[in-house]
Amino acid sequence: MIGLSLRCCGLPLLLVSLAAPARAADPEALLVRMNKAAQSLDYQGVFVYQRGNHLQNLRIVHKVSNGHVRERLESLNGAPREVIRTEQEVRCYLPDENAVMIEHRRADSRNFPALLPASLNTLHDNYVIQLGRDGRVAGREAQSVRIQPKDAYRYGYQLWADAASGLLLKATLQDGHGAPVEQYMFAQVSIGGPIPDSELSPRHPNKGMVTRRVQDPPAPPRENRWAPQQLPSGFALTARMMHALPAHPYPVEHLVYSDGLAVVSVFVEPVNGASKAFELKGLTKMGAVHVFGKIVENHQVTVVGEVPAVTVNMIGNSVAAASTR
Amino acid sequence: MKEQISAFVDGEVNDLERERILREIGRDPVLRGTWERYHLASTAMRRELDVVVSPGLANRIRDRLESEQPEPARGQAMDRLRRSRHALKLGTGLAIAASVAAVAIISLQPALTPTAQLAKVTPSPDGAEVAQVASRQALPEQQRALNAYLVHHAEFTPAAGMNGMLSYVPVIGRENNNNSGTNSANPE
Repeated sequence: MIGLSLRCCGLPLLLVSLAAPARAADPEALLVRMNKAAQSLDYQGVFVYQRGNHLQNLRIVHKVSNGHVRERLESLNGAPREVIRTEQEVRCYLPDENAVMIEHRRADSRNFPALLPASLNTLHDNYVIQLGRDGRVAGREAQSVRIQPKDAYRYGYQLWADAASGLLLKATLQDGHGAPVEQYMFAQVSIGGPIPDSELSPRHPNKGMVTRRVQDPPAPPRENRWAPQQLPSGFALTARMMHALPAHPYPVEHLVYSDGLAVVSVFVEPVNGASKAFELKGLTKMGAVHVFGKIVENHQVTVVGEVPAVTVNMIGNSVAAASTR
Repeated sequence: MKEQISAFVDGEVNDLERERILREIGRDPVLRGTWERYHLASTAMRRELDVVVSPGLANRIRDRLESEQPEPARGQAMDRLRRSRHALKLGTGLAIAASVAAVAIISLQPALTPTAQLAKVTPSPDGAEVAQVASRQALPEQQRALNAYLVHHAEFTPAAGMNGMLSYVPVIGRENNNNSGTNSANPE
């Protein structure tokens, strides 16, 4: 423990001596720093997730070894759900549903619109980004940044980063009136290793649980068959792929649109008499996540995003097959 | 009679016929077996499937009905089933049978064989019917589809860049002890 605290204290001093400021001088630099910290640091802790009157306690473990990232997220109250993520796959342990869901990862950093200075320029078209007041989160000094949307199609963010390491300690998603939609906050966190591998294995292994493993993902579609005809300003296609989902009869086409910060997924899959049970129609809300479903030409169109309802509505209602354009 | 059961399973009979078929199924073990196979086949075709069950489920359901064993999970399962669209679609009689089926499946769980493939009803070599059945009709297909969508969507969210796992919170952090039924994802 002494070694650990020395390391934590020593890190910013070392950075200062190398003429790299520990504290970000402008909001863009802070965002870039947070992005790097989340990917490169070892950390574990307990955080609180709140939306509306729902409160959840979760434990997170994040370990980087030889450049490979492994993560575990565990719900500490209610059903003991867990997500374990490596670079190859995501395993969701859902004991209350008696299921383990395994998804192969293909997207990841290759497709993820990284928060880099270059892409930050386009953010300014749709957001006002400013440094906020300093504060204290989980017993640590924190530096904050406020990101306010310029229109009603996206949420605002207030983020607090650990002043010493840049790790995101607290995040608030805000609606157009500045009211919190969703909040995450570390209650306790330790930054820096070592983290034993046992911390990354499931607490509630899949004994007797049904495993839904996704088969090899199908090849991406050759042409752009489906597309929304209407997008809020700044949103552009960032990725397009096919998924084979457990219990879904047909592969699902997945289109990803982003304005550099907010991300909206459009899923399209064929429906017929046999798969009517999947039908999702209209609007569903899960905290800050809005889902809009519609049937278009015998296809289930589902729009998912951490954006206001109006955004998924607009995009979902405008999705059409390319051939009908 | 088999055709009528088939129509019954597919929900293509009127109230009067349904009552009569339910009575017949209750009386006749052969018809009960037929109903079981058709029901499982129908479920299989709708792909509401998770697990392979051994034959004789209908008899175990009848046994449960007759013995009226108190079952810890039972009240909960019945509540869930009462809310489920499937149970509502069928008559009251079958709704009760179906809820007992759910209890049977829950309590039989450790013996069930998990399958990776969501296969059709397949006759096994010894002639016994092997089918896959929805392990819990209370869990709406929509929620499962949403979970799968959320996992794929989470790969791309900004949180994935800043603090990877945050984007999975909607998957595991949704209210998991609620009893609001089909649209349990949005109680707000």
